[in-house]
Amino acid sequence: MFTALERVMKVKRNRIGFKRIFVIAVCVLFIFSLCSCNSTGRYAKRDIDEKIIVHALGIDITKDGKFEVTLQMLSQQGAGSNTPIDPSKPNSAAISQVADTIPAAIERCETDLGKRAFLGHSELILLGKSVVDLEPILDYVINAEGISLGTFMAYTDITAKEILNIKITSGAYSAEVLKEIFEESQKYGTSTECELIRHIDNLENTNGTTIMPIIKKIKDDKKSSEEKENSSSEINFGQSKSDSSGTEAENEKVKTESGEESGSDSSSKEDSSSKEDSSSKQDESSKSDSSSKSQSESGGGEESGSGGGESGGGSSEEAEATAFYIDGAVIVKNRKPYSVMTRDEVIGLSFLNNDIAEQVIDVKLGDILTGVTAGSVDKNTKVSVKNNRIVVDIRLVISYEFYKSYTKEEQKTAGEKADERIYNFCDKAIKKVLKEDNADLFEIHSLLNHNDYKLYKEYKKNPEEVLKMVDINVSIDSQI
Amino acid sequence: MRKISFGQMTVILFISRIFYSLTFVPFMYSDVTCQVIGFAISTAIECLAVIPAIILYKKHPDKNLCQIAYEKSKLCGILISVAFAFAAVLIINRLLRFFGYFMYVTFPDFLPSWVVISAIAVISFYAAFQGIEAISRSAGLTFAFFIVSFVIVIAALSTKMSYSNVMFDYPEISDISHEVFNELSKFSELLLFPILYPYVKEKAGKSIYGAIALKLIFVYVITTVCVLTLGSYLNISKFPFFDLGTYAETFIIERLDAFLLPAWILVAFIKAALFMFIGKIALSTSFKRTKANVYLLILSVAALAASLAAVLQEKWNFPVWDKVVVTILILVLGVLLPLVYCFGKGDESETE
Repeated sequence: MFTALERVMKVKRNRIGFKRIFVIAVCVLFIFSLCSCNSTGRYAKRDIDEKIIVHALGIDITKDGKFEVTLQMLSQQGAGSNTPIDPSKPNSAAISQVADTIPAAIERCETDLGKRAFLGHSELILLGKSVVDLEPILDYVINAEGISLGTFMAYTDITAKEILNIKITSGAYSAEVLKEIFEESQKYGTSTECELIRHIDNLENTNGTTIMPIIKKIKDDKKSSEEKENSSSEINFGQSKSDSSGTEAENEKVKTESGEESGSDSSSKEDSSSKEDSSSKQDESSKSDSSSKSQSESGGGEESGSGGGESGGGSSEEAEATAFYIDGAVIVKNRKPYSVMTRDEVIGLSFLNNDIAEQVIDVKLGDILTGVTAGSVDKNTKVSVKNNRIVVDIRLVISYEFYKSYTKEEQKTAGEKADERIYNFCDKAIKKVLKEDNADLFEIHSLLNHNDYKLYKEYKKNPEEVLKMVDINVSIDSQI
Repeated sequence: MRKISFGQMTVILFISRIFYSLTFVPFMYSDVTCQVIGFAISTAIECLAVIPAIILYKKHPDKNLCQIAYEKSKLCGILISVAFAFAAVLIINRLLRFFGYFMYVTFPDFLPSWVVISAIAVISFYAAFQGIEAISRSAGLTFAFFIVSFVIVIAALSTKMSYSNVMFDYPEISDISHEVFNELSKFSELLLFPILYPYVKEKAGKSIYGAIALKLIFVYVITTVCVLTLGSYLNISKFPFFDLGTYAETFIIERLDAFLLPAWILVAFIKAALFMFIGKIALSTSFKRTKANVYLLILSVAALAASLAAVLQEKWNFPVWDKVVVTILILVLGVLLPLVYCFGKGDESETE
């Protein structure tokens, strides 16, 4: 009796189990059939080799005002089957196309390659110096599918196409190397924060003001020694390379001194040639000359206006540049490039915004030149209104480290000299940003919002006028 | 009747509520200060609004609202059951459309939205078919997964947070009231509770307060992290919580949105399953002749058909009446009717 009941129960349990398995199987089948029934058109299945993983996006403006978009992607020739990287071959390739809008240019790149571009892994958006207006670019990158908010966005003193066409055989891939350069420079204060989200945040809060670092290429020794002779150069942001009409009237011509403090290789040949001719602001022939020179020098070698064509694969020997460096930054106002900051000014700005991890300051102790590592430890800001002026007191706590063992007296002297240098950097930054350009790069909007709401309301109405009322006082509390 | 524990009930109510906070945090419509105040006020109102349902539970711990109404008057019982089923269909439709929109915006080339929502509907149907126990177990796993992914994302973002991103604004009364209304219109758990409490072994009243408290904590944490990390980008972001995932990175993984997506899908599935389940229970209480699972099938098909009609045409904007009708249904079925039925004599098994 008992066993018969057990059997019945077992059969019943089995039935329930089968029923459950059947329902699960039906659900799974249904979902699979759903996923496979729409495999054409936009949702067509694509294997990974049918996609191009874009690592960097370059944007230039051609002389007729069109967008020239360059996509840098991983070159399969540079990645061996057994080893992740084949160092004998360049690991990146680039393709450029020209169209009226950015998405249209990207679409053209896709049709040229016969693959769909995936932008979700882009690490860098590089803007050529011809980019006059950030509005359409921001509109695109904010709404484009998958572009990460952590993507770096920066300017270059030449064209984005040239920079992205340079072949690098070291590092995982070219865009990653570029990103690492930005990150390292940011750590040392020679580059400002350049993540896409920071730009969007700044532009939203400050009526279209932000700052973007400028990346330049270092050329071979022979050329760089020639360049060292020309320690300063002029860079025209917001002008198409061979643009002889159009945009220059609405853009300011700005000057950057790149050699003075950096000690690094200075600007490129075309910049120096442009400098020679720059005494007359409107001398366009020099720009045309320089642009054609840089075209022939660049690894890409394609004419800007024509667009098209993948440049990569085995043409590594064409690449003349071996590395990049950050030199200065472009101040963007009203979403347009406005002026250029020098390296010193950028360092000052980084100290004032507490964005610096460490910076080596050269100081002279007697006859010996020595390096002092300054690390920004803390920043304390107070806002007050005195005599109808908004006074922002910034107190920086900076720690110094020495490479040699000094006496206490020597350390004190070195610290004081380093203080002087940092005051100098900060003064330069304040003078440039606040007094000359009247730009809000010191987070004045945030300080006012947190400290004086009435002033903040005023700021929202008329930021330019409020910024004119701002004075920044810096004090340094050094710790040895 | 298989019963679930107090903790499981808390978790399923919380999971159901948090869906809207993940998918849609409308910073673009009002500023953060209004949101923060709005959250606090709406939570206080929610705490008051659940009192009639809790009294009803104390008086009739083994009967849901539809059963109580049916016993008092057949017609009222039928009407209330139909209203619950209608509300369930509307809420599932809303949920599937939200999710379809989310997939359409964030993964436009991945899968068509209609495929994704159909799959969610099928899985939810199966969970509702299995009953409250299966749903609550899945909810437990979802909760654990959600917490883990959330903590990973916050840890990855900790270096990117800055107080300077916080921008205060003097709140306007109209903005706050708008925010409160918005929050209340999302509190569909008021509908779940009067139907689900008989399934809880004990302390059902505390479970809803637990869910509200958890919701408040998470909403504030999400808001704080969003504001500190994204700054003014919040004003233009469609899915701020998802953007946190795309922005977060560790030294191994570049973006962590992949961590959040499964949690999201699971949360949507739990919520849809819960509403299918209460729709089924409500209808089977008044219409006893037909099997309960037939109602489940009808409800699921109706909700899916309604959302597919919108999703296939890519109509993402909800009509105003939808929000108003859902809010009215929540208030009537979740507050007013429990208030009406909580007067009078309780059952013998009345809880203390």
